[in-house]
Amino acid sequence: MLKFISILLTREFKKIYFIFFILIILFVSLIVCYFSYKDYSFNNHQNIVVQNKLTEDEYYEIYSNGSYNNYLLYYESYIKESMNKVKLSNLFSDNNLFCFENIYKVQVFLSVFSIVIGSSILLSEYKNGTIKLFLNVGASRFKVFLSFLISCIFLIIILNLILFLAFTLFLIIFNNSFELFKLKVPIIFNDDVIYVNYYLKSFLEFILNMLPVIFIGSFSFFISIIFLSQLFSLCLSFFLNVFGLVVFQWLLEYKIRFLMYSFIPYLDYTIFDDKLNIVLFNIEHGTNLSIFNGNVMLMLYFVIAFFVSLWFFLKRDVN
Amino acid sequence: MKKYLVIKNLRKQIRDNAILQNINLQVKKGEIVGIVGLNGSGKTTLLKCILGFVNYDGGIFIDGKNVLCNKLHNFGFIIENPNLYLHSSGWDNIKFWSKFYKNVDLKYVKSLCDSFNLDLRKKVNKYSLGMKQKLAIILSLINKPELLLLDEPTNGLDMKNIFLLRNVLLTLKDTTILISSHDINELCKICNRLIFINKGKIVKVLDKSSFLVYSESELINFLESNYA
Repeated sequence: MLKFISILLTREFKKIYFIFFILIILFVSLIVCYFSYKDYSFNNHQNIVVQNKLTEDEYYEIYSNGSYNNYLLYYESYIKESMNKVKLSNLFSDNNLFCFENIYKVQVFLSVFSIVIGSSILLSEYKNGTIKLFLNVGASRFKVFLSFLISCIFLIIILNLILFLAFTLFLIIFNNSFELFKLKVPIIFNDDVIYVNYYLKSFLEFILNMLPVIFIGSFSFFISIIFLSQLFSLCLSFFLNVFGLVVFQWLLEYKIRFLMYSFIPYLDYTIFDDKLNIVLFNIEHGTNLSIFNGNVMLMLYFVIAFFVSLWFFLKRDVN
Repeated sequence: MKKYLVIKNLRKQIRDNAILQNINLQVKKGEIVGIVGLNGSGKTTLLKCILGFVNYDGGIFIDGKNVLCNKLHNFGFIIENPNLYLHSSGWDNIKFWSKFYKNVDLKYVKSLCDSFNLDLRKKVNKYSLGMKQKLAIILSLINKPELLLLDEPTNGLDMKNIFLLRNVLLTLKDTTILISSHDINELCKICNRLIFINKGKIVKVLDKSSFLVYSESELINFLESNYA
């Protein structure tokens, strides 16, 4: 099966649409990195001054030197000294190194690419009639199905990784340094404070945010096999991905809480405040949304959709 | 000689419409069998059943193994339209599918392409129907199949290429071949046996010694016969 997957991947890498996706990712990364680097406003400075109770002298000292290195060094010592006073989540909000956070906004748009890949990778074989040749290469239908699914997921992961690497590269270029890798960021769990490498933390968050992207791509794959319609698969997946959360919010106002047991509210993890829960939904509607629940729901619906589409793939006549 | 392909009580039904009814057939290894029938008589469905593309009742055994349970086959086939990647070149198509099989002899494949006079550098969507058919024939032979199932292989081919195809098929000594075609004359030239199918039933089976006796019009009459 590994050989099967490697052959499929080799072919997909050479396809024009995949190269086009990569070029779009590189272009968008370049634009976002450039503008997010340039974009730090006076208001943000003021916020930090207020939140961190800086004196005017301290503020002047930091900015008159003009160096972000000094700025960061100052804050690192400041954090250690006055941990209780500082609202840590806003500490680095002004630092343009942290425009890396914008990667999560771009990552959500990768769902569009993953939907296109998922809906076309196996269905295009049906359209060409080449699915018959795949069923005749000595592999069972189950293996063929699994190979295409794994290839689809692998392609989505590769696109994500390209985005991550592109962001890293462009930010290094714009910052003209490798500070991104050196930075430590404090995270508070109750009263305990731990410092983690910012780059590693971002990568782990990126991996976490990749799960809904992989899910919606796979969902599109499954729907395309069940209905044998690329248009329907694309439309349904796009609708759920783009409007799902809006519709969900609207339905919650009518107290339709069982929707929290669907996968719809979990298609975008970036909406989760502090990566723990959605405070707004929890308070207003009494729902229990969290990334943990999201992972469970996405896994559950992935397995259900997998078996349903597999059944269709195994049992349906190939004409 | 040992029976290579055995079909027992094969039935295929789509809703209330019986496509194949109680098909029983035994084919020896290396035999070339022609399947003849009117449009919609079930020829293509029979080949699809053997390939495991469609579900059916009954049993199809190759070398004593059930087709549906054992997927490790070494088949070659052309079913209906040539199944090709239209936006790739002919050579890319060959290269891609050759990766799935072991011991693909690309020299043999190239020699086939040369003999069919096929330009492999062109994209397939610029091929004529005949060129696509030739490429599909070459792809069906790429893995040196034990069983070759050809549905209307002469579609779009000119007389020269039909002659070439006939010669190629006759050189495949160990390959069992089932050919479905409307061209009875052509089938008579290469087949060891002819099977006449009408309304999903085998209505007549003729050996080479017997079908050479009949005239073309008599053979055509068998197509509409209802007896087995």
